[in-house]
Amino acid sequence: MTDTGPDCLVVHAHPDPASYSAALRDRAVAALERNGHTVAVIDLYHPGYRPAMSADEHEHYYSIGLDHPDAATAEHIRLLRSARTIVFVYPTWWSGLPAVMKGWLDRTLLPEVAFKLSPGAGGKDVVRPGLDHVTRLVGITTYGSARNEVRLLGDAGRRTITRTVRLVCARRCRTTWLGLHRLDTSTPAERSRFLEEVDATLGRL
Amino acid sequence: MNTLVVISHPKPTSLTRAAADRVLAGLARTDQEVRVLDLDRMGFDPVLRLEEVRGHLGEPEDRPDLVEHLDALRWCDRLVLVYPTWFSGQPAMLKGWFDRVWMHRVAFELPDGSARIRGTLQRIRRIDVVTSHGSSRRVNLVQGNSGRLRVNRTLRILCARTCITRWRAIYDIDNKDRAAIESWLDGLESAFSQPPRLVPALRLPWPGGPRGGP
Repeated sequence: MTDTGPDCLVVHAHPDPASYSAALRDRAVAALERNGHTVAVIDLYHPGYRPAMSADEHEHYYSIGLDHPDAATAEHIRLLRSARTIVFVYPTWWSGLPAVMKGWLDRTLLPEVAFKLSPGAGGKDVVRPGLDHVTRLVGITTYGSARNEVRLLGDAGRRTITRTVRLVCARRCRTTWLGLHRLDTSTPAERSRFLEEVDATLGRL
Repeated sequence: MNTLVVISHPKPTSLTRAAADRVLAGLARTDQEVRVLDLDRMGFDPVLRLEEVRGHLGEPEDRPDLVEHLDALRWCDRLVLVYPTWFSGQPAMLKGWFDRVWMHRVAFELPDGSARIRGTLQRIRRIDVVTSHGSSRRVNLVQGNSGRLRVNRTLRILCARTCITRWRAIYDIDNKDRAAIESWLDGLESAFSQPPRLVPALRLPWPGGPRGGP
């Protein structure tokens, strides 16, 4: 953990700069800043960001996080080290994160960055959290499906953040989930109410 | 039976690649017709593009760069996914294959006036997943198994109503010895050399089924 650098990290994935998802991101950033936080934003649809792990990255998976050769990923790792709050803003596609954001988890949440492997009982490796300075995870997403359908399908994207990523954060890390359902048939009033909800919730963090 | 095998791993020497080879060796001993999409080797671009999001109800003909993938998905009756589980789910490469290739008119359609999509992959009667997990079965349960839920629920409901899924996973691979891995690989080859178990299509007392579907 480092004390210098932004204490909030907002990770966003949507190809359209004029999308509702981008509006959610801007609202989240504004609310956090109003509350005195310093915020860094990672926009994964920045041209040139490559989400798929390369063969070389896989080959050096256990050590590459210490000195990452890819400049963008090295910068993302630096931002992770100072973050106390991580906010994910994305549209839910096939019950989960867009590939570009899933790839960000795969390539950035590396050993020695997001988790540490140490020898445990019986010679087995034990995984310990590496983001133990992260005390809050927030997900802000839009769903095409209705709330009960999302529940039936298991909400895999939410699980990925609030369970899998949560497990490498601080023991007392809290999670906050904000979702707008049935985006395609939502009314402008519903969308603007959801923006207000994002504003109010993040303004309290 | 038409079987589509989709492979995702960046490294040629990986366990996933070895598993895929054994799956294909098994399939070669059956009378199934097999097509392979080896995403990393093909240099597949997993990032859904701006024009694809804006035209998400577009036609498959609008995506000439995906023609091989779209044809294969529409052609198959059995889908076999071979990949490593990373952060509880499919690698970005495979997630992006779902995002881009499981598109309107191929995997789903949105009937007029409805807010709910309807699956159009009624051909697919079986999905097999071959995957490796770094962590144990217990840890996977705590982590939420999101990759498994995506296949067994979200993707399966776009396929035949009687489509079954079969999960062939190896857990805790970093603590497994060579013999355990070999025995898993042998098991794969022998399982895939058998004729796949299918659930017969539902025979309903009225034509078209309860939703009057295709």
